[in-house]
Amino acid sequence: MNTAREIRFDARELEHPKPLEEAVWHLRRLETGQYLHMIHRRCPYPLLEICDKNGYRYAVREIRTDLWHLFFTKDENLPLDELAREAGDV
Amino acid sequence: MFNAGLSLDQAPPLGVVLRFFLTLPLFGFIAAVCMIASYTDLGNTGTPAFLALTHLVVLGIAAQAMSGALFQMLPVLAGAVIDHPYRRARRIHALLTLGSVLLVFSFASERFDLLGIAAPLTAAALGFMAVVMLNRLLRVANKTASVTGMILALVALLGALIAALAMGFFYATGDLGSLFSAFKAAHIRLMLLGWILTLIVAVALQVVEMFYVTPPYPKAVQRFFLPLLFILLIADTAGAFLLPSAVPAIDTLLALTVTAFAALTLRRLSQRKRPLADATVWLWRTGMGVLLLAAVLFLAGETVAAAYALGYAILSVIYAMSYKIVPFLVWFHLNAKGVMECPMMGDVVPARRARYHLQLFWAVGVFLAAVPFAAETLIAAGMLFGMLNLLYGYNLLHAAVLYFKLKDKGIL
Repeated sequence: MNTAREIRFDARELEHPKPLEEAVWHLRRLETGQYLHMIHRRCPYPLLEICDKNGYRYAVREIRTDLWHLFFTKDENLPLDELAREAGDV
Repeated sequence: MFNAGLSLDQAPPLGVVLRFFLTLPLFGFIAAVCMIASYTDLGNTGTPAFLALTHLVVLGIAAQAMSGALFQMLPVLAGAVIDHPYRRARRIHALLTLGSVLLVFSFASERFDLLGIAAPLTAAALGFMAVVMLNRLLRVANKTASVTGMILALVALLGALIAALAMGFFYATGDLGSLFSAFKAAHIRLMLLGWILTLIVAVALQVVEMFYVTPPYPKAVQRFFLPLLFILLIADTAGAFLLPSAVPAIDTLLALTVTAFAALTLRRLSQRKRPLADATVWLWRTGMGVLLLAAVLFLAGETVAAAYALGYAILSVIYAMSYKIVPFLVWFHLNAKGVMECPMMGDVVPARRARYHLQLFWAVGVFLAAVPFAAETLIAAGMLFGMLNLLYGYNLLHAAVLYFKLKDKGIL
């Protein structure tokens, strides 16, 4: 059973730079067993680069060109790829 | 899904981009002094003072901003990472700054013999940049509208530089032969419309929707607008040499094309989902509104007024973009270093100070609009533009200082 706790952040209606800033705000507060599920209208590459350099794991799924699901965590045990596979249209 | 296979190490070092943007207020301030000192000579496009002012804006401000923006956007928007960005940016910036200063000095002092040095220096800087960037962009597999736009803009820049070198040669030798006016027509159009405006359109196609959550530009516009603009420019340039009588008709088509794009962008900005607009939204609106006005003035035969309006529109978009790019880069690089005290992007250049910039810019516009009725209003416009550049310099410098203060406090 997946007991991971999701922090859901829907950034689709937010103007630049709010999606990036608020995503980083959530990332800094993630605890063990938690993951950030970001829904965005595009792939935020700079955020992925920040994650790479700060030791976060992530998985990305493009549903449509204007609908992306992104999953972030520092927890080594969370199945991010599985979460991304399950993500669908919203 | 992906976690790998994509080069995410995209953003160039902050110093690469910042050096170009920090130079803008310096040239802007010199332009303000030029407006005040030569206000009686700026009503005719052929005077040395007008040429000096034009090159201060086009090279000192626009070309510096475009170079910095391209170093930033090539990796981010096109996935084209430039090798040795720091070393190349340093050389391009130094040559461009030196060349621009010398070029402006040679016009302002009527020492046209110096153009024989100034033009090659400037052309070397921008030509080198264009070749390096084209080399990367042509190898990008997914050529989006923005990538195509950047390629076309850089090709036009190379054409404009060739025309500039020819004109520099004519000036330096004092022999303004029969081809001079054709080279001049080609230089002006390729530089203003081919290089600067094409790049603005390429950027707008990508960032207006991305930054301001507007509906995307229609697919047909994304696909055909930039090639159409480029074909018209090529026809215009060829016409200047081979069939000068065709140039007015092609110019009219170009002006109508520009009008359509400006109107469409204004429409898109009016379709934003958020009711509130920050300074950058207003700067985009101002830029597109005045671009539309420039095209109408050009069609009405008011070429001097159209030139001022075009310059004003270009500055407006440059300010809008720099107030997005610089805070983003400071924030991004600090976060990438794991700096916990990293400020929000809105605190890197506080919204209040960006608004002051906008208000000063509008005031400059009001006084410029009054110039046809009283040339002295150019003095007021120049003084306000000087103040604007002091504020602009302070805002950008504040961002740079903030970065250098915090960059070593990262946990990485």
